[in-house]
Amino acid sequence: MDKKKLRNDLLLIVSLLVAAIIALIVILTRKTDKPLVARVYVSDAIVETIDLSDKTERDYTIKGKNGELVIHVHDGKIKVSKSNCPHQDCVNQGEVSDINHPIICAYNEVYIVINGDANYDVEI
Amino acid sequence: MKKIFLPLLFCLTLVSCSSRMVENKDFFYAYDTYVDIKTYQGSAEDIQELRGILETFSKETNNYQTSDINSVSTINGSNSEIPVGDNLYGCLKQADALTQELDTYFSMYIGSLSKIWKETLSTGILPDTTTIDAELTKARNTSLTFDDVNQKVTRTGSGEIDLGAIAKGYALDIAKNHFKNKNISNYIVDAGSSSILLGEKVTDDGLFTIKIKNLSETYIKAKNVCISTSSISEQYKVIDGVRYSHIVSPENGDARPINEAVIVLSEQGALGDALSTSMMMMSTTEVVSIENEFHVKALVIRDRKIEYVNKDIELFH
Repeated sequence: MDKKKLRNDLLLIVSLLVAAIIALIVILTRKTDKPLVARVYVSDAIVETIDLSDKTERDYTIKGKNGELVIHVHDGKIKVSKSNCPHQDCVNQGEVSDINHPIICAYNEVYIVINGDANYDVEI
Repeated sequence: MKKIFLPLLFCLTLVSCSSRMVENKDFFYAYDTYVDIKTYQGSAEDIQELRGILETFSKETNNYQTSDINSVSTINGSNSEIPVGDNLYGCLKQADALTQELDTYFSMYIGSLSKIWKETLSTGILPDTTTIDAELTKARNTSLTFDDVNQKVTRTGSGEIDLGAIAKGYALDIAKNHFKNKNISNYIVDAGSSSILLGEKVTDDGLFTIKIKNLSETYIKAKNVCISTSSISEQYKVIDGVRYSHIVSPENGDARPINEAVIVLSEQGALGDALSTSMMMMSTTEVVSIENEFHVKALVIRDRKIEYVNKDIELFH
């Protein structure tokens, strides 16, 4: 009687372990498949979503709060190539391909951030 | 019965694990940057409430634009008694205290001098020494009087108040208190990468991983702390081979910091912000002295290399 009970318990534990391992594999596999996408915000609203896995060289003209910016995409990297802002900090920042490394144009309230998975939570 | 109970327990565990990962988040423009808030407890309304408070405080600390509420811009435009909100009053008091405590390293009264240097970063034309000296005299002859009973401030002198070196840090302190009142301990607030508030991450050790952009593949791990960064790597202009930045010394009006970047880990965001800016102008000996005085931890970077790191900051590669 006891042996039967023990066998059933062991069977259940092994089944649960197998299910947990399968679930873990599914979660980890799903995470790494996320494509790299840059989102362009103007004053909190998303105005453009750019697929960085598309390696084609291209430009996007964005209407910011105080003027226009040109965003250049090339080989999975993104940069602001032109802006009417006075300090040109966004242009000087150059190319970005890094998650958690946003480009900010304060003058035009434009924020460009790359979404995806990183091995860190935040960059300073 | 047991055959049903155990699988049910397993499913509940899975649901419980996934619900811990559900995050409430918000993202908005304030303090001339974007503020990103994420919590793993509480509700979306808790974040909405905080966003409202921080957006109001952003308007209050703006010294470039007037708004429908009394702000730094209102105070700079007059020498009369001005009633202000709780958070602006608290921030002004702390900035005034730090102006006195940090003496030549920090001043909230150099607003117009900062504007002159920002113009230089745009035009490439250096201000002359007469202009700089006049601005420094103006700043040194300016002060604020605080009426704690009626929560009013009066400016004496004509120096412009600029809370740019402390406002985002103070906003993190507001956020920290908000989360404490709501019993939220799992959170991260990122105010434009230069001011970050960390609660605990939803992991066993609760530590967040932070990448340092001025160093190659270097990380720190931290929780329950404010991290303030001052850096000249993005806001600068090279004129005649010399690099000028947006960080101005209240001692001599110069905009050429000794250090490339300074990271400060502190319990208080406002203090960390003010110290990271001040330490940009300090030698390593001075940084260590200020660290001990204010009980903070600093990391100093020069020429893309670590010049100094506090022994309690552990770096990972």
